[in-house]
Amino acid sequence: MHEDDTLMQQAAAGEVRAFGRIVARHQIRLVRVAARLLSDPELAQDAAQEAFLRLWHMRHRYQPSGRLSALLLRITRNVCLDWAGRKETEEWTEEREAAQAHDDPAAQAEGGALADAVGRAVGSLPEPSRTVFILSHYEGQSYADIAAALDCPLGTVASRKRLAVEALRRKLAHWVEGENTK
Amino acid sequence: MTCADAQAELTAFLDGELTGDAAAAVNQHLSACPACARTGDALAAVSHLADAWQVQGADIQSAVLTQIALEDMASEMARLRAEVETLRAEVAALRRPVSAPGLLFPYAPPISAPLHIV
Repeated sequence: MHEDDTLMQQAAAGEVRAFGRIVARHQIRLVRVAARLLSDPELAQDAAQEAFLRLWHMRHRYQPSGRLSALLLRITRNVCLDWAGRKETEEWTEEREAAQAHDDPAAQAEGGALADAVGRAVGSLPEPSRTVFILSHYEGQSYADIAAALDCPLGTVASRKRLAVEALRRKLAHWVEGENTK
Repeated sequence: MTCADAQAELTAFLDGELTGDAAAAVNQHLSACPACARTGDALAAVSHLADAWQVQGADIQSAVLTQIALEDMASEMARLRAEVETLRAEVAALRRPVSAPGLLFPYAPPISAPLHIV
């Protein structure tokens, strides 16, 4: 049996520590996915926490399937969509921090602007293409895993990913051209 | 394979989602078609650019477990409150005044003769 399924069974039997291990195994990814879906790192932590609480409430109904990860991604996405209206002004604080890895100040400015541009471009993708792009590109999920998480056919995932990349190509045309001229 | 077919499969090809004949067909088309190869390069460049947007995960384990503990406490408090209410109702029923005198001392024998002191 998959380790997640074993832990869920233990959690259903009342072992909170087992559930804590599930949280530890998935929290980083869920917070990251929520941060990109909400474009808000702080709200993302609350959203991921809410996703785990929803899983805790349904622990007695969980059927072992080896797909807890897909279920958690689906719950997280639903929470984020529910909360999308609560999104406040865009801040992109952490993206700017990540961009500061460049030594050259000019590169820092350019990297921060690029991170902003990418964040805004991805954030403006229509759902569910945005989720597909985030799970595929940033989380390295296979199309099959994404199809399981979103409960849709494999071909739908492929077409949504293609639409997302084509949309990003248009939105980031300035940067793509800049890249080509270097 | 036509250009339209190849372009429809390009993203999946770049994601490594195509295998066997499907992957070979796209690869062969890209080798022979400069226009589709340029499109493939542009899509790969978009992928590369997208990497610039990095976000961090976070440790929320203690927050989740604390929330679960709080929910358990709230649930236990609600259960105890309900129990207290039940007990309160039972005590109130026991304290209710009984008006029928016979019910006050059901064990008292009827006095039908003079008492004799032994």
